[in-house]
Amino acid sequence: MDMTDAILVKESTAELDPRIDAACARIAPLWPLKHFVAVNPFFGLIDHSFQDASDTLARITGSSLYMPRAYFREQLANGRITHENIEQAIARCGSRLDATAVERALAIEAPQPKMGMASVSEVLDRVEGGIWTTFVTERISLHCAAYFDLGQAMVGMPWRNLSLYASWRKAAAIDRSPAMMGLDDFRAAVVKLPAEPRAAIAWAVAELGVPDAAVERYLHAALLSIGGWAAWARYLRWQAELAGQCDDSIVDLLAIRLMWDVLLFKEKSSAALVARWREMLAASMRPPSAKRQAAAEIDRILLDAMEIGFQRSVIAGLANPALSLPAARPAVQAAFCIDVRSEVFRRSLETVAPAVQTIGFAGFFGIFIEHVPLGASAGRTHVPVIFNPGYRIYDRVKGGDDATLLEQRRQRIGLSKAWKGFKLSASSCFSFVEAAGLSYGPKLLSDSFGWTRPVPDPNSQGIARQDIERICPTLEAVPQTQCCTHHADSGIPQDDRLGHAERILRAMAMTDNFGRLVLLAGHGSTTVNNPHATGLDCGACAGQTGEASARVVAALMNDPAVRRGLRERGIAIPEDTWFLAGLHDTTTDELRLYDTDDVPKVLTQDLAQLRQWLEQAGDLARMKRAAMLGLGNLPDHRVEANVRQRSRDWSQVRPEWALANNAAFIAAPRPRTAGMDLDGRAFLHEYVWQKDEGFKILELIMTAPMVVGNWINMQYYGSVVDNPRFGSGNKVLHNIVGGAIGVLEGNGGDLRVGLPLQSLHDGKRWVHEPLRLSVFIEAPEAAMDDIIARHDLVRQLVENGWLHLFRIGDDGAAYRRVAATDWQGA
Amino acid sequence: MPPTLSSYIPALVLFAPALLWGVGFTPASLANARPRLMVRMNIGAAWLAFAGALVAAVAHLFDTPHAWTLFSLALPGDIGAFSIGTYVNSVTVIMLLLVSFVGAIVSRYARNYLDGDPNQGRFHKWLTLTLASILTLIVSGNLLMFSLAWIATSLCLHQLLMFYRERPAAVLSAHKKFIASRIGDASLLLAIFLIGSTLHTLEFNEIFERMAALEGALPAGLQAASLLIVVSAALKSAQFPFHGWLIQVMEAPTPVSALLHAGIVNAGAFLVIRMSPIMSHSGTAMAALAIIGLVTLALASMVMLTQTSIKVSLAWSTTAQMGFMLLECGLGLYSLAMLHLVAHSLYKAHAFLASGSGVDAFRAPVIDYESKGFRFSQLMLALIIAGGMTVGVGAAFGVTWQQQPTLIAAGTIVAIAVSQLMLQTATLLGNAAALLRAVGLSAVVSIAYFILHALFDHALHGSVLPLRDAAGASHSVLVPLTIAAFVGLLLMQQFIKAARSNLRDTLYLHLYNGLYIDVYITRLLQRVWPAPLQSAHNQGA
Repeated sequence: MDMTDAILVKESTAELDPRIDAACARIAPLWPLKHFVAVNPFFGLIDHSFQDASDTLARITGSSLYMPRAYFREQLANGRITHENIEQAIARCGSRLDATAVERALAIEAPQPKMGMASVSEVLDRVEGGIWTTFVTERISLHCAAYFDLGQAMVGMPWRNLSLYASWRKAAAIDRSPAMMGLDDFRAAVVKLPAEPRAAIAWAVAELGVPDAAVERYLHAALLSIGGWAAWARYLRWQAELAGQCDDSIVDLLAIRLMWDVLLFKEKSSAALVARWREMLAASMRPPSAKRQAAAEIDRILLDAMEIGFQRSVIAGLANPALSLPAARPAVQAAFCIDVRSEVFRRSLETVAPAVQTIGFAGFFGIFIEHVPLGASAGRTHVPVIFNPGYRIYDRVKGGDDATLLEQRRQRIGLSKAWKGFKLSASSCFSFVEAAGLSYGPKLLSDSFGWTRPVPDPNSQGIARQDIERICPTLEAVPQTQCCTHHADSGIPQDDRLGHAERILRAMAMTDNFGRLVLLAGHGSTTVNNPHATGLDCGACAGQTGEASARVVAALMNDPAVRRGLRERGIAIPEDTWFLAGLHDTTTDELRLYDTDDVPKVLTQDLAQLRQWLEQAGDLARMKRAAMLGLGNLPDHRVEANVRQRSRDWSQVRPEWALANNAAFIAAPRPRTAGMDLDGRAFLHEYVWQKDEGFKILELIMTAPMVVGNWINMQYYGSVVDNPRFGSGNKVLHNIVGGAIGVLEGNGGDLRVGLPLQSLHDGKRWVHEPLRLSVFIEAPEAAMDDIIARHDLVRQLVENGWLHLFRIGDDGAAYRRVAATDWQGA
Repeated sequence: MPPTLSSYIPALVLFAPALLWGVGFTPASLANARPRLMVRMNIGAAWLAFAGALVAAVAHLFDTPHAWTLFSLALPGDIGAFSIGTYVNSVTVIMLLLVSFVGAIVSRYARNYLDGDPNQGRFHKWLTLTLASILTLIVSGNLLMFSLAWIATSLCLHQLLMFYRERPAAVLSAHKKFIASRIGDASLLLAIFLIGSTLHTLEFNEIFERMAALEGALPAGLQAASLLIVVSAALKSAQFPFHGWLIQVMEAPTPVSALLHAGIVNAGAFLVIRMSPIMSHSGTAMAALAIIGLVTLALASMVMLTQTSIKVSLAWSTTAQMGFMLLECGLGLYSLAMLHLVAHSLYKAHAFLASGSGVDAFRAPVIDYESKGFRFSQLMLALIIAGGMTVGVGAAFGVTWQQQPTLIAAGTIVAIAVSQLMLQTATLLGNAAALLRAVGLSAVVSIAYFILHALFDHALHGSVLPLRDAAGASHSVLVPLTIAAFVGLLLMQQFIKAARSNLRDTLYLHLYNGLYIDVYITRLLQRVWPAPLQSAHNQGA
């Protein structure tokens, strides 16, 4: 490249930069398996309407955002979609079709979109046949795996201190694989590539002759062709931005993908390839055909029809609220995470113990902590992923000997690391097998029957069984000598506590009429040998269990100084009220209580009563879930045994159904929904607008929990409608890559995002109904319109059709938001 | 013990495969229609087979090698007869126990793992048949029956590898395996023909008797046969450069990988051990085996260090371990090879079945150990302590190093490994107590090693033919070569982890890419036997 070229590139880079950034922003992040959090895979497309996003994706990937016709046909046949639903959907979509015509159209498959934007490798595959796309994906994926590896390889890639693009140039200059595939000049060409990724992208766009109008789509398509690793790079950028830094790995990845395209194009430059490439570019610019548009209209109506069917059942329930609860003091108040799995347990608890009042709230209970497990050198974040933690909380050992247990744990984990080194190093792995391999015989047997765990439990590793109970997170600062991290600050300072306690109680609408026991129940799952285990844990706690948050908030509320301060601020918690932390095990529907030895003696009876209720509620909840797990015909005790066995079964690919079938988000006082069987399909958030001064809490609900609900809902939606791209495929082929980054399906290929098929499908049918989230909020119209107007993100979700928003009136009637200030009775 | 129990041995060992064959012949359509029934039959049969193997093992404990023929059909050309019968010695019994156990565990695992798959019935059908054919192979008393079972195993496994036949990568790797297997089959059949035409029998017991009576040099026919057996074994054990198929079979469900890595891939070593009465006479074959094994283990264990996905790294580890097993066979250390075979199978079956647990290690508390690595002098010290320990423990177990030069190689390998363990522990924990722990742990490891070695030596006594003197001649070269290879591995491993240099970077990348051989083979294969292309539309994976 000479001087003038360099200047040219620089100019075009400036012009190209915003487009590169826009394309990168279209990709949704992917959290690592060690704390897997649900993400809306269309997060980068929410500035488009749902339909436009569907068209955009269809023109790149070939599949739209709607289920195939066969699915809808089935729903019509089994009565899930009625003729009436279709008529209503037609009205809602403003279509002129009539319902019979839509039903008739169901009989024919929707026309497959013609391949729009493709990479050079895909065009090349079509020109000369071959496995170029697979090969390119494989090469890039292997490079990314080595570059980003969190610790699978014993020997890491040497260029990890360089940027991703620079490391690729180093590696590609050595790599003989392209030559083995017949690309003889590849290595020489790599050396001559621009050193700067953005310049490289500009050069590729020019060399490939991508027309101006198609540039952004081409870049988006290029990223989607290595979409898993792009999502990972996007996650790194997300984390960096949260920390106030920046990360350009995603741009580097884009440059690498484009370099493959341009080098293939140059090396293979046959007339046929050039012609097909130009033809593809031209075709990709044309708008969707009339036939496609007509088909899309029918798809839209069918999706809406299905959603209407669901919404009508919710609306009918809301109109018939349970008799409002007696004003008498509840025996127990139990706050659960808004997670849909809590709904089943809450209803069960209310059924067995009408004296218990339940509340729904985000499972981190409003406290922004990073928790450092005993002996650890780094903490784990326990807050929704859009926030940074504010406090670092350490573990303390009840009864003193912190230092002993801590050292013991470090020694034990260290020894297991050394043993692992012995097992895996090149010169010792053979002797390892001969000396220790036979011990895996008994282990195969005991793991197989669930008597043992295949590997130690990460939460209790290195701690003796009898000591686990004694460890708990503490609000207090820990002496520097006792923590193994390099940070000085720890605990929540006394001065900050009152403010948090007040904020949290008000957000939960808990300001008076406290029960004698207040249970804060986080949730977590129990599974073994499940790469996606953390995906079953609490999303509001960033893919950890809710244990630490619940224990910290309970301790905060029991702090006498905090209690005194709260009284001054108008929240009088009675002397005999005690906050208790618990964890709802969503796999077994057991509810474990923590720190019960701290409960005052006067409450012993109450505690015993609560335990009994929780046990009964667990039985009931398990019975309710039994049918979905295929255990419907078993007697009670067998169900419990089976569910426990599942949680220990290393071969179990469906330990629980998690958030499958989620479809609604309801923010209202509990009496509004208490009489409804929502069947584990609804996120329930406690909200009493009359108590919400200035609608600050409403704003929080609509900008945080509602958005999280949308993320989870869309993760499921995307994983069902386009599992090859937005789901992670077949669990029995999963192969963990990069230690704890993600999974590959089978030998290799791209990193996979989203949910495995087994979490969505039971082998016969989709257990998750792909519906957009229906949000119901009991609050005044104006307040909601105001919040929507002030928050772009919320406005886009609502107005671009990524969710349905309903207002619940004081009378329980529902009004659907059609446009700003336009709410129509539903 | 009355002799009555041992007379049931043939029936007992045949019981296991026969039962599985019976279950496996359920038509696939029926199996798919009634998956639960098929699963139950598969698991029931697998556990019964294991129970049968246990009883057979107890019965055999009190008996000598035992041949039994049910049916025999003379073959033309005076090469012996095809017969259905059994040959039971310690090797048979150990293998039968091992494979039926792993088979039962894998079948049980697949029950929930594949639950809901529309083809679950078909899966269990082929799993049952694969298991039946390996068990048949193990108990065979006749070489031709053995090789038919050998071929059947591979064909049944092919059905499992092609379970998701809509996946191009699955088809591609199955094709790769298919070709390697057919070459292996051809060379095995040729070997059998040569053995038959030289010894005029295909019955194991008669072959062994005739070999025992053999005087003078090995006839040319048998010499060639032993080389062909080496080829078959190397192909079956995924030895370099034909290892690609093994690395890529992750396209089949995890239990298939577990069964393959624990029960099938070691059929190569089993063949060599079974044929030890012939193999032990052929210095060339044994040397070839040792060298193939040594090269494979050195390359594959280094490649393994660089791999970034859990299953691929396990697969490279298997290739390396198979290499080590063949090296031990080549050195005539049959009992160690047998120990290795059993221990590796159990370890690798577990590793695959538990491969979903990899993330747990990263969820555990992150602990920074102030490990500064170690200096060369510390490495030397560890080697000296480990060496002393090995010599000491070895002496306590009555190992006579001078009489068995190959054991010197084995001992060195153990010493190097133990020194690694010691260094890892000491540097990670870095205090005196830890050092003591490290030495203690190392002592336990070396004692375990020698106890197990002695046990297997005892168990295999009379079931394998120790190396003949003529064949041991190459040991003066092979033993130092093996020692050098392991010292080299130790140094190489330090080098590649050490400071950067161009040489090091280049080496890293070549290793990470598995030395490219497979890329080339894939390209060739795609030309001659292409897998159906995935349509670009659903190319998301």
